[in-house]
Amino acid sequence: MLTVSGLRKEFPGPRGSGTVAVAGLDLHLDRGECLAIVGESGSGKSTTARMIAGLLAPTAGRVVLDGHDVSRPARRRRDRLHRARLLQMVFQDPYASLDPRQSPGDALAEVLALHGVRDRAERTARVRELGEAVGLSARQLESRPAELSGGQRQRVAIARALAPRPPVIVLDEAVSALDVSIQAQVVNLLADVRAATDTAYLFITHDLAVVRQVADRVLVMRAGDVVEQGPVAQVLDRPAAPYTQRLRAAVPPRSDGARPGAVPHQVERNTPPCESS
Amino acid sequence: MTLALALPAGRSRPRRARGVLGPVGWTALVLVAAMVLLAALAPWLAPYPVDQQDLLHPYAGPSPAHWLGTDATGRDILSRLLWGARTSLGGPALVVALSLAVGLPTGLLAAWRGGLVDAALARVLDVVFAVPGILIAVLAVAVFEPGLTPAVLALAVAYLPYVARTTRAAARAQRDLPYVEALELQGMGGLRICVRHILPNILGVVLAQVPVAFALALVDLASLSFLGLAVQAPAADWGVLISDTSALLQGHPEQAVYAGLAIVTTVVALTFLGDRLTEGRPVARARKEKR
Amino acid sequence: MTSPLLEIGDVVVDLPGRGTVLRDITLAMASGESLGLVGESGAGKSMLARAVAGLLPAGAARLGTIRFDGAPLSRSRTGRDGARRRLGMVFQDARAHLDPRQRIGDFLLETTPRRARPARLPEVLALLDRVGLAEPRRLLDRYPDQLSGGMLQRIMIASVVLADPALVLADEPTTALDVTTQAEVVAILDELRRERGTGLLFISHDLDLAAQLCDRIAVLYAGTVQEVAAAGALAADPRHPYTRALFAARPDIERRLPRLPAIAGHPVAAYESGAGCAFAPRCDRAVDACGTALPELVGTEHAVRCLVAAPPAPATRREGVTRC
Repeated sequence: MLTVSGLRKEFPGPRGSGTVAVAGLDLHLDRGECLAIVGESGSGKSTTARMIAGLLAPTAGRVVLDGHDVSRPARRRRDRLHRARLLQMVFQDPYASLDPRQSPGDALAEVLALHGVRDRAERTARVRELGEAVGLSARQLESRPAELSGGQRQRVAIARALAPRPPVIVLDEAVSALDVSIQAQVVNLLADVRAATDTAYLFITHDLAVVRQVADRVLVMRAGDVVEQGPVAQVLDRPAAPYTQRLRAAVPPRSDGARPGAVPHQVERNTPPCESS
Repeated sequence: MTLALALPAGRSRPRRARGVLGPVGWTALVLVAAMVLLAALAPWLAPYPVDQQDLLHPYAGPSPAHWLGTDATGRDILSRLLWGARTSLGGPALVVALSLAVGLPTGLLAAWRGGLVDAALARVLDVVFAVPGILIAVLAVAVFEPGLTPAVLALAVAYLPYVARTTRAAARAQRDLPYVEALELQGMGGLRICVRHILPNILGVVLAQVPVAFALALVDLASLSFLGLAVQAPAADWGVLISDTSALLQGHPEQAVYAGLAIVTTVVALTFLGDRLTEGRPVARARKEKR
Repeated sequence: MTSPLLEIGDVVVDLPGRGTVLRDITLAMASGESLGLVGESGAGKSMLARAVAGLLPAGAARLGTIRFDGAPLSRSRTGRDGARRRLGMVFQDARAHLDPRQRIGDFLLETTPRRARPARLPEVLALLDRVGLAEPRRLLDRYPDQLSGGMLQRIMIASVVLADPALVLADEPTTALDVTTQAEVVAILDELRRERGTGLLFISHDLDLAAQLCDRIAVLYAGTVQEVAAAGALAADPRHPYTRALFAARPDIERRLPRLPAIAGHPVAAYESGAGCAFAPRCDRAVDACGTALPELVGTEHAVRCLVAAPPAPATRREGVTRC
């Protein structure tokens, strides 16, 4: 469904120096599959997501979606709409993800109209249908975003992403900013949506527990490079790369049952401060 | 002027207009509205025609017949003030409207396209910004002829950078928000995103600058009229009323004082209004950390 | 137990324009103890930290008493807050709390008189080394912009420790950090606390992290303490339905669950909740009585504020205010 090859991004720096955010990345995503990209800040995982989504032009490499090369940002209206029907994205911050002056219902209707649902009655029906699919009531669809909680807003963002029925959705830390109880709701919702629509997810996150819950395969990134990839069970249970092992060990142990594990005392010497940047 | 009333709710924590304005803001708003109303109703309110002379009663003091007295040719000062309000307030309104009409699209374009377009527009605006408005107006009047139209056009050009820069900064902050990126990913065109989504969200910030811009334009236009470059005597502009030096020389500063008071009152009220509107306005959320 | 280090009694905080954000908070900390405050958004955990620190927003009203080291704390900070002198604070965003134009060394030695600085230097260097920063001498000449978030947080911790506090108040100190950095910072906080016998009030949204670091945990919901217990007891035997649901809702890194046991609805703030238990509308065990009156916090070692709490191993009930 999605094939990425040799994807690379350099950000030019001052005095000819540049930083390599993503250093040649290959990945593929099958129909209905969920691939997680995990990494810490600076790993290049979000840059990767933004390049695949077309929000950022790659320095090199190819992004092929359903047989179409979409490596370059679409200029023409037809191309833009075509691309929109292939891939959508859900962002991290639920509070900035919606136009504050537009009700969720209006936002969904606007997007549907853009994608050729001209008939008013049909549009209203589709809006209600999308609302139901993500668990939003008719009243919530008519309220102002400011009246909705973070979880409800994220449901709206998911509904908006589903509107053009894309085969691929990129979720960029989409559940990271949510409270635990809400995160569980949204994680479940994403699973339901995937089961119902066979949508493939590219799931960007830093949270390994969430990866276990939602993903089929996982790709671990560090400083622009892929350090390890494979099925979730394999990578999380028998991490091969030292970095993955460190990442895995840094997660606080799940605290039920006996006295939770004490803090592991391995104060590591940090790298010396870099010269300037 | 009713533009200032179009108060949008804040982004995350909506505030009510009453809360934003406060007692000072409301007083200012009422004063400004009263001025506008007086100007609009001048033909009905003015007790005498604007240029009806009464050579037998020059420099008459306040009386029941002439509340504010008369000028050198016996014209009723109150009537002239009321009529003068029309150009004195209408002129700045035109200046602000014109600079908004050009500045908003310019600012949006710069913010949306970024890169070279943004840089080029910024340089052009810098140049305009560097030249004082009055100077542009003097040049315009020199090229064309003295009158309200060239003065208004010149000042509109001079005020353009304020509007464009405010718009650009506010729009730039919106452009990086995920809701705008989500719309881009939906395949929506830039024009539509700008007009339907970004503009409504920044309009409040931009319009909050209107009262102060209006006040500045009022002073600038009155100055130009005073210099004899904009509204021409015998028309009754507040600037013209002040510039009537013959009255001053003969020891009759009354009309200049009244016109000056009208200008000061309006400007102070507008400044307070602008102050209330800009204060406490949530600045568009800063760019989220990426990567 | 000797007199507690920090004693919070019946604290209520009202914010102008919003309403009550904390109600009936009663907690106590022994010296050298670490207490975790855990809750979701709106729980009021940061507001409680601010009340202790004297950093409540302007116009906020605070009722009740907060005693620190035996002395009552005023509502807000004054110029020289003697009572809060031995209270150190670590915030979520270290970068925002550092002057970008001040060198790290000047920041760390700011409160030391200039003449006393050379004598203090070895201690500072040792401490920087202690919090895991390499080449501390070079570090002193750096500006905040040149350092990563994790390093800045270590520097904040070092600066707090330099003042030799009796209690460190850490408000989500690792939330903005990566997992590996978080693990290191948490280890440092824990070690310094144990070495120096400092109390630690650790505020977090992360139950597991708090359980790992703290002796006791207080679970907050809608501005009230719902349950307080030793970390082990809380994890082994959560009694409040909210605590149980919160534990259950976390995804498990070890295994995939068929479905996460989510809690319906969304967290509310104290001012959004009615007369009864704030969690009742989301609670699957709620009975009619839950909606009418706020239950008392009942119990000593393991205190719960719930009418239908899972029964503990037979213990005293209705003991009144907890000492925790």
